[in-house]
Amino acid sequence: MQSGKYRGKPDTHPWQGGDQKFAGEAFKSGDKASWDSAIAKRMQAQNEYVRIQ
Amino acid sequence: MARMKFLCDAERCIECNGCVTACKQEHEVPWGVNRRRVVTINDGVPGERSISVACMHCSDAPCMAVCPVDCFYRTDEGVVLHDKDLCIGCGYCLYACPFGAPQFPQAGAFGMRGKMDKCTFCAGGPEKDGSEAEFKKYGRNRLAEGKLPACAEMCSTKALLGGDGDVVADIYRNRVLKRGKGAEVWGWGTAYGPGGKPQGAPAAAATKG
Repeated sequence: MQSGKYRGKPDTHPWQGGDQKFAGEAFKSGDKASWDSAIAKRMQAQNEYVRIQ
Repeated sequence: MARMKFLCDAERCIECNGCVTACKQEHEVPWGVNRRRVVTINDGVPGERSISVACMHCSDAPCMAVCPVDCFYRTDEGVVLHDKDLCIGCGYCLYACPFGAPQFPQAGAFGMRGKMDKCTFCAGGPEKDGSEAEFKKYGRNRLAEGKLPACAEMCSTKALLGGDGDVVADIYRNRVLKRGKGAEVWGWGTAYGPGGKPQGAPAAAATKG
């Protein structure tokens, strides 16, 4: 984490998961590559040109 | 490493406030706190433009620079978050922020400001991901579930894009190239003709003398 002078509690990376009860099969907890690809797939859902191009 | 950013396409934003509603609902944001707002310029005037504004998760965040208790941090994904347990509610981050992102819930009487609250890019905060404590303080952590911010995913026209800055830029660039500019934005030139005149409009009839 880029914290500089941050003096608060430590935080974890999002790809480490946590309580996965709402994550479903989106990605494998602890696997950054599967998190990256889950996010990339979600991002293309914002791009309608993948359907209509 | 993904650097998370928002981009609101002013050409597509229809001021539906779906993003505002999605954020409010997703994080159970208290009354009076507006993590996300839609700002409309020249409201009611033809050519009005709207933009959805929340924390921009600045790479060089002024809120982080001015905080007297150093409660802000930036994650490896570029999301600017803060620790509410350290926050003293001084309001300096609000003064520093050019977007008015920090919000204060007026938690007590006599103008007490309460802890600062702001858009977290749906990345929660420095508590265990997905825990009750994280939800109560910071709202839902959608990033830890492999999802994007609720506002961007709920946007009805896909005006609000959120996610990896490089991918957002690619999507937006492709969109701008496809839709053209001027009269060809959304096919207005096709529908109404260049310069606003309908195509094929009959020429003014000559008067017969």
